[in-house]
Amino acid sequence: MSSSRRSLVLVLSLLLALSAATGCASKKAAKAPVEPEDVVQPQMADPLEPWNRFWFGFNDVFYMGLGKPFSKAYTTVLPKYVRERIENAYSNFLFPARFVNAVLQLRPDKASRELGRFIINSTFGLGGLYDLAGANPAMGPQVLDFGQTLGVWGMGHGFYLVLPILGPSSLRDGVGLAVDATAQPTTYIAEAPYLLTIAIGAAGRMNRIPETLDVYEELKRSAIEPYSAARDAYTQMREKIVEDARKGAWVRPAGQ
Amino acid sequence: MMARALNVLVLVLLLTGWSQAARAEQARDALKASVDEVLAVLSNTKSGDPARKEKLYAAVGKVFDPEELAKRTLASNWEAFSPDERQRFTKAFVKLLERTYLRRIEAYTDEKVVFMDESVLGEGRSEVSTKIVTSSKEVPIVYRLIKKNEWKVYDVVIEGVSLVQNYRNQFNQILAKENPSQLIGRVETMGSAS
Repeated sequence: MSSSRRSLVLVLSLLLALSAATGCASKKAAKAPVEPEDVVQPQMADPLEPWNRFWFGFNDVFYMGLGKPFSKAYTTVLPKYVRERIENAYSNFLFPARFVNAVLQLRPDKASRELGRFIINSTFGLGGLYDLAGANPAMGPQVLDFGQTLGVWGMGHGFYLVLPILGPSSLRDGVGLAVDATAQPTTYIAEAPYLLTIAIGAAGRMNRIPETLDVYEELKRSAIEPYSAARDAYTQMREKIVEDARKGAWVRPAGQ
Repeated sequence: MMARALNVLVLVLLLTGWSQAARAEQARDALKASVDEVLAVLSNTKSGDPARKEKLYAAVGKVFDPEELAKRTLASNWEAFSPDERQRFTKAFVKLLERTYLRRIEAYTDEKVVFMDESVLGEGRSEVSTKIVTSSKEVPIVYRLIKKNEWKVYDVVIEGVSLVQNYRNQFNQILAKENPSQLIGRVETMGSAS
């Protein structure tokens, strides 16, 4: 009896000592700055930095000189309510690209959600003016683009690319942008004039300028080095979009 | 005897389970209390009111740890800063954050803040997911908190973009070419510009 009690005490004290030791170890580990979210993330490669910086500067002049007065006039003429209807209709118009990307990412769940959204919003939502489907959280809008699809397939960013007027992008996402543009319905409806595609795209993008400008000005106000801040924010944002798209995927590229 | 032992075991399990569940929500509760206070100040005061700023700073200050934030943006560079430089840097950086984020908070109108789950990041660190819901979109915002005496926010991740990491990359780049005091000068200039 007494020997068993003694062994119990021994085991307990050993356990205590062990937990104390691990406690110490973890405290020491917490002091070191290497925590998972603290590790400096690799920056997107930027071999074209001088070229990119030129377009970054160009875009700044463009946005501040033309975009800002335009945005001011535009938001005065069109109230937020109208701008949101235009955004919804434009987004609805871009449905085929999102649908195709959901299929390319082997995501029938996302594809059917896109299709459901398109049908509901095009009919009851009056041609996409109202996002009625989005009232159901399980039917809200999704991010689906070809740059993301390439990322899901395992392709990296390539390198950083600042596009004229369009702003931060990457080799991968720039290719994605071009591929997605070909999925606009008016490009493959034979009777639709080429000009119509351009006009819809321009109107849709112009409608986004006030919001884009807000984000850009916010960045300029808070950043010490706006160019690196924009590049890093773009990298992190796209990283997250690809990472989220990989969640729940059936098929993962090798090595992921 | 056996039954009593089992009872004790169940009780212990229940208690530890309960306390763990309670602990898991602590960071979220601390954050929510502060956010609720900010929202209350915004609805109770007018935008020109000089007392508003003070009250907002007080409400935000309860859950933010500016020093931890400043330190993390410098990461390993923090060691290269003298105590005086660390202090000056923290002060300038906090001023910059106040200036940019107060603007953002004050622009807040019809949005709703939804608190979602909390996940443990490691010893004494948690991540609380929230989203800001407006009439047209949702913006996911994740707060990272560290347990000191209270739970304190040390990083904010907006749409996947970590504030700390964004500044860290900028500062790293600047410190590769300039000395700490030049960096502090830059942060001070940005913080006082309007």
